[in-house]
Amino acid sequence: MFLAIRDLWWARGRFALMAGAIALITLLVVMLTGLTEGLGRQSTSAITSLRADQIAVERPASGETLSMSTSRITGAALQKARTQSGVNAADPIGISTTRVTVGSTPAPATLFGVDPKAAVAPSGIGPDSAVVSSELVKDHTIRAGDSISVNGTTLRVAKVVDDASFSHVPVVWVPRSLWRHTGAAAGSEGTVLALQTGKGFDAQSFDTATGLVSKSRADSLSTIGSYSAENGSLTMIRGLLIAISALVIGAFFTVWTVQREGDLAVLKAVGARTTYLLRDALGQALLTLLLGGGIGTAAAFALGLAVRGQVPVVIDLGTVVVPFALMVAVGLLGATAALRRVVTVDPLTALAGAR
Amino acid sequence: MTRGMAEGMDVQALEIDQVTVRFRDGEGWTYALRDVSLTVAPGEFLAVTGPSGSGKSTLLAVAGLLLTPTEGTVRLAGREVGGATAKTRTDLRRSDIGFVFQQPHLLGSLTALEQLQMVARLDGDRSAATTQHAKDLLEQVGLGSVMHKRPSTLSGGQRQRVGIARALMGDPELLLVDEPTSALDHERGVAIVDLLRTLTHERGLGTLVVTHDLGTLGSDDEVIRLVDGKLAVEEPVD
Repeated sequence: MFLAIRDLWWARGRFALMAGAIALITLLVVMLTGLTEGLGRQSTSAITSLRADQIAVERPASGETLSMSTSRITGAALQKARTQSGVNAADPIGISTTRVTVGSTPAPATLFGVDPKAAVAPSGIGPDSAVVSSELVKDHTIRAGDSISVNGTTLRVAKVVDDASFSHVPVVWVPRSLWRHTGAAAGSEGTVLALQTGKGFDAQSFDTATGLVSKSRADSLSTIGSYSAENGSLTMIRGLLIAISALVIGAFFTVWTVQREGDLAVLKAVGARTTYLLRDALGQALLTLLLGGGIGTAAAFALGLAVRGQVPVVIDLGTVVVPFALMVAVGLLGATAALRRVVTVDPLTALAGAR
Repeated sequence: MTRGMAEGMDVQALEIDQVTVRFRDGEGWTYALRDVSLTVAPGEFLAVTGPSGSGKSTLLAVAGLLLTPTEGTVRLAGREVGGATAKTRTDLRRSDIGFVFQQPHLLGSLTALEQLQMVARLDGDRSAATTQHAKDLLEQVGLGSVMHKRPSTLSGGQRQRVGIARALMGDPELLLVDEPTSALDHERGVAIVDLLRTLTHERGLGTLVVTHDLGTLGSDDEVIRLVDGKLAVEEPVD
């Protein structure tokens, strides 16, 4: 690193530009990662927080995609599900988006209709009471003991639970009997089936017997249409940004190495081993990446903290450190492309007659 | 044909014996060197001249282990090195050979002192003694007052002196010098050759200088001439 550090300082203008580019890309990647996680949680937190091992949805007609929004659980399917081997509990959840009235103000909400005694039901829910998400409380003055109106039925708010959203809309847990009177029910028992399973559960046998499709709770998120679309788009953008960063870093270090070919030839001529030069070049790339990536990550962290009240961005170890580490790793990969020239430079070219 | 001052010396700094270097050129061969033999003894200052394309740089490349001869043998300080691996040749260049290049080829980011420290770093040597050695060398070539300056602030002659000090940093047995005066005016060129000659004698180096500039050589200097890759007759400088 003797030469790498001095080269960095000597060509600080060029390296500052490069570090600046890395910082900007890292800022974007970290913010996008936080946003993806935040939007994802807004879409899925009600499902990921369920006390269920498996989520079963209706098998779609041929040519259609598996989706919670079109799923209907029939009474027959429910009965079959409850008798399957390894199923400890099978609770239907009716899901529909509607408006609830908080005081005199209407507010969008996703109803999660559950039987009050079901395993997946949040504590506090009863025939005349609801449990609301803190997301709803954030936008409306509401606390436990207040009343809300759902489809003309007044329910007492028994409890406010931590953030629970579905498709970006705060969840209100209501008795399933109430949900069944909404138009969304259309005579079904629920939209999805939450399963608590144990030894002997076989997903394939379950699916065959019930006509449903069961998925682990994490895998079931892909059946939330808005989540899949958003997550896919944002992940693609992140992937492209990371690929661009690898290309930019690779191009920079290729040009930098080409400019140094004379120096490298001389160093080899005076006895520098190729491994020494490779370590030096990689160390230089690593320092540039740590500097640029560090600045970008710090900026994203500060920006994320500043806007997280207004924007659904998650700032934590996973959304900050992981993308930073990924940027450094991919950047090093890009820089490695430039190392080929370090290996192939011929020390003979240090002599005048050989040039 | 053999040339040098090997008489009476047990171990030569450099021995090149019947070396031929040829390259494939279409259907035939192009000879860069043909059956060249020479020796450079410790303390000997030997200049090689010749027109462009005569094989001077090829000779330097063979002597500096940058090029493996097609035929013949190369010995450094008595050791046969012609068939050495690339890694061994690299290590020998670091430990036994000093290079002075036509352009000093100093690293722009390093000060004069760091240019020399860099050579030691290649061996992982970071000792204070090495730094003192580097300072002593810079003092010896007359650059004690500018050792903390970068190449861009040094004159052409100073840069070449840094290049010479750098070549001596590893205490080599053999000093190989490639057209050391071509970027300098006559006065500075003569001064550089004088310095090389003095260092050669003081340090007991074997020095092989490739040059086209006979005017910078002294009347007592030994000079050999290469023509079309072959050693030609010896010629006096004057």
